[in-house]
Amino acid sequence: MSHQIISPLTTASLILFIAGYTVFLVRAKIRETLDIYDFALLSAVIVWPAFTILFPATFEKITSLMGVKFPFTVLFGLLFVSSFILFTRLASQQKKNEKRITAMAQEIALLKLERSDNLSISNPKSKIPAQNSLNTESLAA
Amino acid sequence: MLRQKLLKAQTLSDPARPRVLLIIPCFNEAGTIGSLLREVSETPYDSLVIDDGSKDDTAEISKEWTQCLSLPFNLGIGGAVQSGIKYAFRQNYDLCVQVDGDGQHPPEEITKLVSHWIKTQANLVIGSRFLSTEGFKSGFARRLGIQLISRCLFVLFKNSITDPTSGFRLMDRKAMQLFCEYYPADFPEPTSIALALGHGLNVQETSVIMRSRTDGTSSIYGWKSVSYIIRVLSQILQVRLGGIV
Repeated sequence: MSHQIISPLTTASLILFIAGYTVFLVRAKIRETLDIYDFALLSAVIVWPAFTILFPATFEKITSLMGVKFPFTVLFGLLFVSSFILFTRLASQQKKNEKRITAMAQEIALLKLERSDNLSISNPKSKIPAQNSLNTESLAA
Repeated sequence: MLRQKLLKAQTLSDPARPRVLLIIPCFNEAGTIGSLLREVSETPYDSLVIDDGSKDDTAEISKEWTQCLSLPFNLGIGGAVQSGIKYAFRQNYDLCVQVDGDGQHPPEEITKLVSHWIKTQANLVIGSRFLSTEGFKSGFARRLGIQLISRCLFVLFKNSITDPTSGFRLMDRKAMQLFCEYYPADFPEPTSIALALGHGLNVQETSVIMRSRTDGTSSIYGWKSVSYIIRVLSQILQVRLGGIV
């Protein structure tokens, strides 16, 4: 069945796409814009179609085992799974980065305030009133 | 009128005389912060305004009265409050009281929180507007949402909190230490209670009287309230299941 589904024209189109996308992905990896896990997940767009072309009999066996009539359904299913794993990773990294940015912004503001406090203390001209400690005896009464 | 900044004396803390810092998170509260700080200046507490990336004169007005921690950009209420807690903890304050910058929390009510802490030594004391009949209570829909959250906390943590969304609260050093490390960015009030209860802290309530907002509008309104409730309940559940938000 697969030789009827994957025609020579489809095979040629897929090979062209795989070649172009591989070049794009490898260049991104070389430029360090992708880490190894994102690279592997994004490669799924090459790997699964390549698997379909190179091992049509195996692919057909998997499709029939899954009870699916149209083999490309399995292919798209595998691509969706790869995409969701990638999205989950991105969402989790984004949350982590958000926490880091919040902590950094807080530290910047705190250091700035503590520095200005220290400058005020070290400046002999500044007149600072003594702190009024809370007297708990009057509150407890 | 230029007021001198209040600086804490570098003395060791004394259990009979706890050092208290009021943390006042603000975002565009130029209309109310001046009058609030005037009231705060009449109390015996140190104060710190946390300017959460305001676009108006909140920081400038605050600096005339007290210290101001200016965040480089808006972090949200959770990030702003956590900044204040970190400052209080690092400066060795014994107690930290959160007061909203919109004027809803009368500074004279802070004494009730501190008195309750003295009596019970609770780690977190929440000022509840529902334990008395006086004062501002919020609208019906909001009260319904608050009751839902309260019920959820009771079911999951076996602790009855009548006003889980109150931002008027006192923290001791143990609570401060926890919140320095983990403080929810979203819906911090109810989620932080869940966090405190989940870590075995003693959380109590005392009755306070609150005022209605004098300026500005709530950020939670309309359909946002529904999504707020759903998200809060799911975060509380997440904390109960051992997650840190």
